Amino acid sequence: MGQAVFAAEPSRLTTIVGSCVAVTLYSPRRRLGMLGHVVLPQSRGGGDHPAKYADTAIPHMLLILQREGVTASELTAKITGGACMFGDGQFSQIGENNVQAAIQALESAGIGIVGRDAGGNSGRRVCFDLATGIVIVACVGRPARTI
Amino acid sequence: MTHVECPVTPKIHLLRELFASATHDASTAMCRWTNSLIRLTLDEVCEVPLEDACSELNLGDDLLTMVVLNLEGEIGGSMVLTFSEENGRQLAASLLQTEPSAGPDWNELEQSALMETGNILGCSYVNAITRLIDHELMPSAPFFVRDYGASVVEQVLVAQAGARDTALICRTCFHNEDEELNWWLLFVPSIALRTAMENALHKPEHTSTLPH
Amino acid sequence: MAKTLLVTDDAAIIREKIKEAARGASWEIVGEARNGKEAVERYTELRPMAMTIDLVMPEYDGIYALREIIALDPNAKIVVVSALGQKNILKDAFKLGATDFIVKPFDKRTLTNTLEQFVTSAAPQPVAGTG
Repeated sequence: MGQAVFAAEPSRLTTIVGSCVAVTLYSPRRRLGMLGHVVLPQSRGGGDHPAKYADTAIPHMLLILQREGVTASELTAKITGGACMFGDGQFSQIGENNVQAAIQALESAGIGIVGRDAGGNSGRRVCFDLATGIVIVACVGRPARTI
Repeated sequence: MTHVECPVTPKIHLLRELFASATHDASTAMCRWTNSLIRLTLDEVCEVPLEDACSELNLGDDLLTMVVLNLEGEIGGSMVLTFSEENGRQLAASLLQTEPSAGPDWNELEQSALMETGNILGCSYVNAITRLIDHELMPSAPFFVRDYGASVVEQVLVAQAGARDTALICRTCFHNEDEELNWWLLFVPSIALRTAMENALHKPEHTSTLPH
Repeated sequence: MAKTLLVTDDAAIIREKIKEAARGASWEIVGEARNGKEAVERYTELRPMAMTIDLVMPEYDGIYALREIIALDPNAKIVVVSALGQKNILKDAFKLGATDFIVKPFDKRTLTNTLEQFVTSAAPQPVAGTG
């Protein structure tokens, strides 16, 4: 959690998310991208661990991709996660807040969101295939979904 | 799960003593609850970076059966009791004095058997910590969850993620006589609870009264 | 007075264990409740000789129920059955009117002995000078 990883085809990146949000950025032209595991919506100005927060994770991931010669305009994004698996109060809103913050950050960066599987009450196992850009989401109680 | 090795600071050492004492109480309660020789031993008290917590605990990609209790209030935290599916069903069956069911669903009685196990263990810890910090701690009613272990632990850790980049995790393992069971109890205190425990442990009258 | 018992706990397994132990001591289980609100409703409706109640329950807890039931019936015989053994919590429960407290996990004998005190205290006392 709180990390962003770069990879190119033929790699696959996987992660498991609960209330966190997995954001994938993909360049179909270069067949490479990043998977960010975002924990909280807002960094409130803190500079450490940019991948931890939605508002800093997206610019951070973009910076790494730009160094690889990829521009924001050619990227597509997918969002998964943001669930609430138990509890209420402090727990119930974090997932939804993460999703909204990730959407906002992607829109601010001008990156189109082409897939989304978020919310609910279950964790997700997310597998991001860098050869195709396909994201497969496995979740308890339903068949795996492709987004 | 693998056993985690991590550096022992003086604060961690004192916290280990506290948790060892709480684990002893929980072990006694577990023996009475299960009418058996199932006991608990403290495995590790560790401060881990948040991004490494799930991999350090080696929760894997499997679905686990879990019971979660939250400690409510600012001085709080969470406890997660984890089982493999098979072990969970065996425990429920033993408590209900029935044969283990084959699944896939868990009925109300089976779920309540595991949840009450979590409640009894969680309250043992809560009672021990309360004696130390002299501050009331109220656990929530337990939650029964079947999901990826990492996703549940992640939600527990998120509560601390805003203020810190590390989390304190206390892990306890279970034994039936000499056999180590594939069950674990994780306790993640909030930052405020951790501070309250550390402050209380540093008072001379407390260090001399921790039972061994 | 008939030995009637209302059992309150969010855990079905605990309700079953209490029921089994109480029936073994000739108590009639007249109702069950899963949280504090249901406990108040059942008590109002059933007016049992005694009731057991957990403290930690979802939505409405045992403290809520204690308060409401004692307000309704100051003579209610309420045994708190809880895994929480904190001094202040016990004190609060007794201050609110709990009659007794059993810490989980409990054994059958402890439960039935605790319930029997209500039977003994409810039994008609011989009048001096008769017989």
